[in-house]
Order: sequence, then structure tokens, then C-alpha cells
Amino acid sequence: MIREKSINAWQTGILLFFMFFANKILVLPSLLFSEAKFEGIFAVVFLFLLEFGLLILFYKLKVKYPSIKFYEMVKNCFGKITTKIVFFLVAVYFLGKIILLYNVTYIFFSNLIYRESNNFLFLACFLPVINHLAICGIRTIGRTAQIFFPAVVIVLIFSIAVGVFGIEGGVVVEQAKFVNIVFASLKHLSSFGDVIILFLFMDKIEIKKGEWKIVFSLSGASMISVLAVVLVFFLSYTYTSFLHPFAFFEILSFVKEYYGGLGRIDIISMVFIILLTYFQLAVYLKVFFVCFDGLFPKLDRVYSVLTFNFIFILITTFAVINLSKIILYGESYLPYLSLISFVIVPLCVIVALFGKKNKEKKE
Amino acid sequence: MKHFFKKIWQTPMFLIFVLIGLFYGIPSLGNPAEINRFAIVTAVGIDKAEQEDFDYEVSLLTFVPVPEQTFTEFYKVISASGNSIEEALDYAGLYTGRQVGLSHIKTIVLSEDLFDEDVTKVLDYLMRDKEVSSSTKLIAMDGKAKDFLNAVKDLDSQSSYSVSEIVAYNEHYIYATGCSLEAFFKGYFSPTKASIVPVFSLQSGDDEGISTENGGGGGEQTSSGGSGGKSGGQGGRQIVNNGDAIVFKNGEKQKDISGDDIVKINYFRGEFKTGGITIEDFNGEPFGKASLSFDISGKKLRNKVVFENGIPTIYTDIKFTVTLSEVEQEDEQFNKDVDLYNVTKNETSQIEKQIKREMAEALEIMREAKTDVANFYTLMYNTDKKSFKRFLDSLDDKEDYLRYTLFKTSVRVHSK
Repeated sequence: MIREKSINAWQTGILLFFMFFANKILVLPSLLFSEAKFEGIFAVVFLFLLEFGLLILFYKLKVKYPSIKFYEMVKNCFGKITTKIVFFLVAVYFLGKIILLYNVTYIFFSNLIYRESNNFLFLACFLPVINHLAICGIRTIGRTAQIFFPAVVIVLIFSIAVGVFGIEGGVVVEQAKFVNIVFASLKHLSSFGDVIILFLFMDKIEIKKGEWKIVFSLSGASMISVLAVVLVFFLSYTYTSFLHPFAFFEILSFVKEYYGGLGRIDIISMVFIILLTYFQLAVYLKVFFVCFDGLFPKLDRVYSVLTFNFIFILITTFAVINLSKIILYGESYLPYLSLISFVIVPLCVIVALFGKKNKEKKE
Repeated sequence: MKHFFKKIWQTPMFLIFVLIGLFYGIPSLGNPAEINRFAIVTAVGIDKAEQEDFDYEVSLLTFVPVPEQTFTEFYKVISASGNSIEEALDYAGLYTGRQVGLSHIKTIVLSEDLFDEDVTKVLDYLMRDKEVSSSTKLIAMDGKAKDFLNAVKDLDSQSSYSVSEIVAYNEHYIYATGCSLEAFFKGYFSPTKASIVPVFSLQSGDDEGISTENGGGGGEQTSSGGSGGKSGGQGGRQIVNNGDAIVFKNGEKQKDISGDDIVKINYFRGEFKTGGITIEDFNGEPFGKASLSFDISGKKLRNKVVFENGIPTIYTDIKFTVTLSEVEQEDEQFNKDVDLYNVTKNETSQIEKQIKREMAEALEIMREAKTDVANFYTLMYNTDKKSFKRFLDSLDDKEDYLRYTLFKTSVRVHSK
């Protein structure tokens, strides 16, 4: 069952392409608008720049240590206890991200089509698939993603192109202050920082010399696509963007409502969202498993699977399933945990990169 | 067979798929059909409640789907009161014995007694409800919304002619204006805080008007012409869509605008696709004291802002392409095909003068009402933010910026 083989440059790039959409194309644009108006898009640009910085850091690390495990690397630099703490925090952070992503998707679908469905139906649809993918390993996820990639790209290009028809002129920009943009960025820090996934799988990633451009190109394309979705959404709904919480769906819905002709094209966005959500949840879950293995190396995989499912079902059944609650939790607690992505992991990597160098120099 | 089951047993995903099918598929077959649970609402009317205990009365133009061989739907108007829109809708559900299905709403009608207060309070629930489409048309009623829906009831039941379609075409013509729920809130949240909503009214059937009556009482009546259109309803009442509108500012009624004035304002708004321009008493070859009607087949509107000495000047350049469509002469019939007639300079300059005069009147209307329904604010702000802010700061009343803005209009009319 467990097929832990490596992924190549294309699969890495495609996984990054998919991950850059996680938690960014549904609720986030609407929240950014309510906090920073049209300038909310600069928060996305700023956070993507940080994300790109992490990717460059990963590149440097991978070039220097092509086959080392992240766990080993951190352990060598900081010792066993610190490594366990870092892995514990990463596991909690990704569990939080899974809950956020799952609930936003659940609310999206229950609001729009499956009004009377309960959480258990959604769990029945999601849990088996993401568990299966995560247990099969990163190579299985990568290869499956590779199969779906052309369809995802076509749907994405189509959606953005159609969304352009809904753009309205005559809006006042420059309404928010710089401080609003900074606050919006900090509040939604947890929706970004997915590049650290690569650090956790770094021993499973095999990128040949000259193939890095594939990873960078696909990452760049994904970032530009997310920015295009946010921009089209803002320019379609203008001053009422904050009243529409499901951005990617809303841009197609806007064209459907006001220009007709193409029929229910908004269904395309639902297919796109469900497909991406499966992959994103599977990758997050895989990260959780990796962290669990790091924390309890002697325990069998079945324990990590049971632990995750038990906690996940418990939280989603009793704690959340309410958009305002999830957003509150996403804005209030997760940003602090995002320090793992933007501070702790990069710090570990920098120490590993330069600390070793210093040691070598001393020798 | 044994091998088959062994293979299935080794594929846990298949087993899970079967389990999901058993748990969710089979019970769903026993669920009653949605058409048996929902009352389908196509229009909502909101009035102030007559009872003191409640704030609002909500009327729903609804039909219950029943299987039959024709496409006719039998509508009913159901009213319920509540302290909020949601509460009133719940009560309406109680009265029908069905769940109120809002996803088919195409029109929201606001009663005139709501206009003294902020109407966004009334519309808030409908705007935020995910079932109600943001493209739902919003109309204001010169009277009670409930009466309007009662008049519409027969129109929708007995013909394929629907009131939502009448409103949909409002945006198409220069004579009227349309407003969706989304457009209303966009205006409300924009810097101008202004939204423009079309007004419908009801007239008794024996009133003077240009209408054709088909069939018995409450049958279909349609008409169009001049500046108004009427559609028949219950007890001979007619729905009148003259192109009249109300400007809302900060959600409250700011000004009534007549259909004639809407035409003038629409020159600046430029959202229409077609319409006509009529010149009365035109004297000049080959016509003699004629009334000439021209069809607008194309238009191009361009605005440019220049700040001169801190005062914004808006240069509006409009190009119209027109074709002669109708000639009414006192003495004799015009003996040429209008399609082959080439509109002369003399006629186009007459049209230009008329449009210029009407645009000046439109500006006066907007200035008086202090409402910028043409969204000049955004144009000025985006052209030169600093200068515009300085200009606004120099005014005693910042809302009155249109009065101190200079306008220079250039109208060019071409023959097709």
C-alpha cells in the first residue's frame, strides 16, 4: 500500500501549482476586500513574494543537500527535542489548515447546492479519498495531479477569460491605507506559506539540474492565476465584493447572471474547486503523517491515520461548521501558527545552510 | 467469482464507495420530491405592515408546481407580516404549508411607504441570502407592493408575458433604467452613495391610455408608445412603466425622476443600447413642419476630466449614429423610403442641439438633487486624486460637488 517513491520536477511543480490555490480563491478575496478594499490585492502580492522567497530558500537547500531528510537536517542543527517541537507545531499547523480548507469547501457546497446535507455526507466523500491518497504517498498524489493538470489549466484559463467579461469600469481605487494592507496580510498569513510542504518532502523530491525552471515557472503561473482570480473578482463585484464569499465561483456566476448565453458555467468552478480541494487536503494530510512519523518514529502508520481521523472528525463535528466561526478561528489563531511557515522553518533552513558552511570553514 | 470478490476485498476504496451508496443513496430515494416541499416564489413585494405589532408585510407571488399538460402556472399572492423580512418569510411558509423557495425570484418590489427610511435594511436579508440571485430586478412601486403583485398575478398566470421581462428590457432603452439588487448595493457602497431604481405604478383600467384589451377581465393587455407602457392586471388595473425612477442616496429616497428626465440623464449614463430621438416641428427640405423620429443605432460616450485652476472640467463627447425611422407631416405623406433616406446636416444639427439642451437639463436635475447618478465622482477621482480631494475640501458642502464642476459637452450625430 505504501509507495513512498520520489517525485520529479513536473510533479513538484504541479503540486505547488495546486497548493498555491489552497484557501485563496473562495473566502479570502472577499475578506481582503472588507479589510483593505481594492488594495487587498497588494496583500496577496506581498504574501506571494514571501512565498516565492521560501521557494528560493528551498532551491538553495535542495541544491546544497540533495538527499537529506528535513527531520535529519533540523536534528543535526538543533538537537532532537527542538526538532520534535518544530514537527509538533508543523503537525498542529497543518491540521488547522486542513480543518479550515475542509470547512470552507463544505460551507461553499452546502450553501450553493447541498443545502440539506450534513457534515457526515461530506466526510464520507472527502475522508476516504484524502486518506487513501496520503497513505499511498506523495508520488501517487503527484502522478494523479499530473493526470488532472491539463484539465485544471484549461478550466482555469477558461474561467478567468470568461470572468473578464464581467469586469466593470468606474471604481475608485486607493481607498485603503498602507496599514490596512499590512493588517490584512497578517490576518491571512495562514492562507499562504504552503511552500514549506516541499521542505518536509525534500528527501522525496528529485529535481535534475536544469529542471528547476519547471518548478519556478509553474509556481509563478499559479501565483499569477490566483492574482488574476482576485483581480477579476474585485473588478466584477467592485464595491459589493465583501458580500460575495466564494470568489472563484462568483466570477463565473456574475457572467452567468448578467450576460447569460453560456448557461450554468458556474458549475465548472465547482468542479475545479472540488478537484483542487481533494489534492490540497491530501497533501496537507501527508504533511501531517510525515510530522507524526517524525514525532513517533516507532509507531506504525495506522496510528497516524487513526489520530488524524479521530481529531478531525471530533473538531469538524463539534467545533466548527459555521462560516463565521471558521473565519474567526482562521483569522485569530492560525496566523500565529503561520510563524512556522514564515519564521521557524526558514530560520531552521538558514541555520542549516550557513551554519554548516561556518563549521566547514572552521574545519 | 471467488477471485472477483477477493479483488474487491483488496480494494478498500470500492467498498467505501458501496457503503456510501448504501447509506446515502437508498435513503435519498425515499425523500419527497422538492416540488412537493417548496412553494416557488417568482416575485417578492415588501410593504410596511398595517398591524402595529409588525414592521414589514411581505407578499410573495408564488406558484405550486402541479403536473399538467400545459405550461400554465397558477399563481397566488401570499402575504405575511413580521418584524423582519426573514420572520415574515417564515410566516408565509407557515401559511402555505410549504418551504418558501427563493431561488427563482426575479423581481423585488418595494412599496412607497418604505422610502422614508433606509431601504437597505429591508433588502439586507435578500441580498445576503445565497438563494436569491444578485441579478434579481429591483423595482419601486408608486403604491402598495402587494397590489402590484396582485395585478401581476393574472398577467403571469394567463399569458406567457412576465413582469420580470418588462423590467429586464428597461436597461435596453434610453427611456428607462433598470436596477438589480447588486447594482443597488454597488451604488449604495460606492462613493456617490446613489442608486437609481425604476418606478412602476398601477392605474385603473378605464383610465385614459393606450392599451389593447384581449379576452375577459384580467386578461392580457399590452401597449407601448410615447413615453409609457401598460400591462393589464386584476380588475382592469394596469401596470404602468413610464420610465420613471427614484434616486436613492444612502438608501433613502432623494428624488423622483420622471421618464422624460431619465432620457436626459441616460445620455450621461450611456448604459442604454437603443431608443429614439424625435424632433418636433422640423422645417427644411424635403420636409415641411414635420415630426421626425430617428432610431439610435449606435452610440459612443467618452468623458475626460481636466483640472483647471483646481476646478474640474468634464469634457463629454457623445457620438450617435441615427437612422430616420418615422415621418409625420401635417400636409402630406413623405413619399420616400426612410431606409434609403440620407439624413442631412440640417437634421443632424437639430438633433445635436436638442441633445445638448437635454443634457444641460439633466445636469441641472443632478445638481439640484445633489446626486451623481452618472458616477462623475469616480471619473474625477481616478483622473487626479489629489486635485479632486483639494477641490472637495474647498467646498462648503462636499455633496454638492456637481454644482461647482464645469461641463463641456460635444454632441456629434451621424447618419448610418
